[in-house]
Amino acid sequence: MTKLKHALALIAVVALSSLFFYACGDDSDSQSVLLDFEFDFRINDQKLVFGQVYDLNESKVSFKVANYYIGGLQMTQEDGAVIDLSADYLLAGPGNIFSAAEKVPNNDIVKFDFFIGVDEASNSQTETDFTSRPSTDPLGMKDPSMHWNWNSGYKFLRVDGEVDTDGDDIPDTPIAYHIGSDPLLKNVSISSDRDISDDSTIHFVLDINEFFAGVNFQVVENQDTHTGNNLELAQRLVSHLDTALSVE
Amino acid sequence: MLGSNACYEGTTQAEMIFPYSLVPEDITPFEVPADNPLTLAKVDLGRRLFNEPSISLDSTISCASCHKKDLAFADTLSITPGIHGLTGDRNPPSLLNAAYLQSINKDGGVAKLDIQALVPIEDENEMGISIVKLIDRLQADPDYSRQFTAAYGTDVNGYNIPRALASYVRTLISFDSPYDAYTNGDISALSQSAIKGKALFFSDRLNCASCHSGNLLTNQSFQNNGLYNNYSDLGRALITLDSADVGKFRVPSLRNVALTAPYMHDGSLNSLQEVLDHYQHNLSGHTNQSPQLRSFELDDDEVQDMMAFLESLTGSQAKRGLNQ
Ligand code: HEC
Ligand code: HEC
Repeated sequence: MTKLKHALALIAVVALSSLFFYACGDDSDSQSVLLDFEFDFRINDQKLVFGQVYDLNESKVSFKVANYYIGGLQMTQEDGAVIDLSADYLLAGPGNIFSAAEKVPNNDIVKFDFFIGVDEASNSQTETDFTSRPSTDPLGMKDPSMHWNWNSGYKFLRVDGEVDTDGDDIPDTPIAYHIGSDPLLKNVSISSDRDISDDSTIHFVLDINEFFAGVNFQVVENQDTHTGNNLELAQRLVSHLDTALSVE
Repeated sequence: MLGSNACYEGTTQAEMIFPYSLVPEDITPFEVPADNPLTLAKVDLGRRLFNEPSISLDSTISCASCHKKDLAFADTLSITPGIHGLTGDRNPPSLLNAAYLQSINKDGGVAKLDIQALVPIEDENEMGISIVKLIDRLQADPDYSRQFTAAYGTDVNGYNIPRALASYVRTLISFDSPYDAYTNGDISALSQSAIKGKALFFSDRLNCASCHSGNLLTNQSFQNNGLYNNYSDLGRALITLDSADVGKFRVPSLRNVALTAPYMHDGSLNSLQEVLDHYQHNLSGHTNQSPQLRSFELDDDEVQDMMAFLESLTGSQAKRGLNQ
């Protein structure tokens, strides 16, 4: 008896869900889309390629790591609806892709609100820490690492590379910009007019030229910050995010 | 499956006695995080990892390279090199009684002992290997894989590597010094000179115990003890980003201090004699220097008495390199 009931229930569920799926599939072309997110790093108006030598602020530089965290993401659509992805963290990096779990109506997005960093509770490592998160979690352990082992919390943003300092045009002096700590969390709000009906892949773009605006890489004090040891530089770079970040 | 689990539970119970058995009755037992209760299996695994050079990038450096058993788990070098002879900025501290630390490292940057091991493992000047790579390396070793599974019920992962190491470190307990014996009523345990030194240490005139207080001879606060005018290592300010914390370091425990020269965060003072000279004559007057520091002058006898007292803080096991 019960077995039969279960079987019937199962059939009903399957039938219903396939109906639902069908409806959705039908819908997507016209009314709703699944958003994807990609992360572009731009230097001298080109796509950043790791290991390639660039002229930047009158120095020869190359890069090998570029990552940052996007949290608290909320996107406002033209009708005032808010797409809320604030429960997720997006680890921005070349080639990384983040896909939203649910479809959204394909109305234009007029505003992106988010922060660069990690919220205070997750950053404290007192309860859940990076070792207790699965490797698939953006806040889990990564290589190159985004967790700070010597300080509780995460590098909110990390750019590593090399600069030429001896004039042979070969960048071989390490440069490293590791920025984190609660007070340096950066709120960003970007107005836009993004049509998502044709192209539902949103690109977060970090312009390396803007990020390093005015930074003379020949000056030793400008060659690295781990935040606390060179707070002034860390703060300056964070302030550049307003102009360095855009959404396409 | 169930059977082995029950057996595991049973062993845990029996093991609860250890290493608490090393903590004398008059001393509050240390706390262990609920998600990482101590078991002998974890401690054995942690001990093995602690002495394992293969947990460094080029398999040359183990935890024991810098934390030496016969030196109270510290080292005689100011800065002990890691892989490729690279050096960091700080002197390896003793690990004895690290189970009691409220925050980890001299600047308190690490929130808990259970994740501390990631610092040396990943620091490019120490062991220089990404935890992600180390997990793969240890998983590929059937013997470690088996031992991790026995201790934690799961294969090697980033959660249990630092926790196994922390479990071992928690067993490094030292409360068996002549000073302890004296405090517990054995008045013959200290020489007359050490007894005078103890009185000086706890006196208002020297005021050492305003920072070096309690069972561990530290109140675990962060203080600037006037070492420099210009700190190349900013200490606590690296974590708090507050300039009022420049040059502040956690007040170190003075237990086994006679075994752990050189001294201070960077190992810049070579002997206890130099430390006493520092407190008497060389305070820098840095803006953040603690007002608890007194200006005082010791005569030769008093210096001897202070030395005798500081030496009486050496545990008898530590002295013989027996903690393990
Ligand atoms: C290259 C030398 C070196 C190696 C290798 C090393 N340590 Fe350390 N250890 C240090 C130094 C230096 C410090 C002080 C760090 C600080 O304050 O920032 C330290 C601090 C510690 C502390 C914190 C103690 C305190 O008082 O806060 C613990 C615990 C510790 N180490 C355990 C380990 C373990 C476990 C390993 C192996 C995984 C290890 N160490 C490997 C040099 C080393
Ligand atoms: C204001 C708090 C304070 C007072 C008072 C103080 N100390 Fe310290 N002591 C510290 C701090 C902080 C350090 C570590 C400094 C560093 O790491 O650079 C330290 C380090 C030491 C060390 C070296 C320990 C090691 O492992 O490197 C010794 C020994 C010591 N103190 C003895 C004394 C004596 C003796 C007195 C009294 C004359 C005294 N201290 C007074 C804060 C204090």
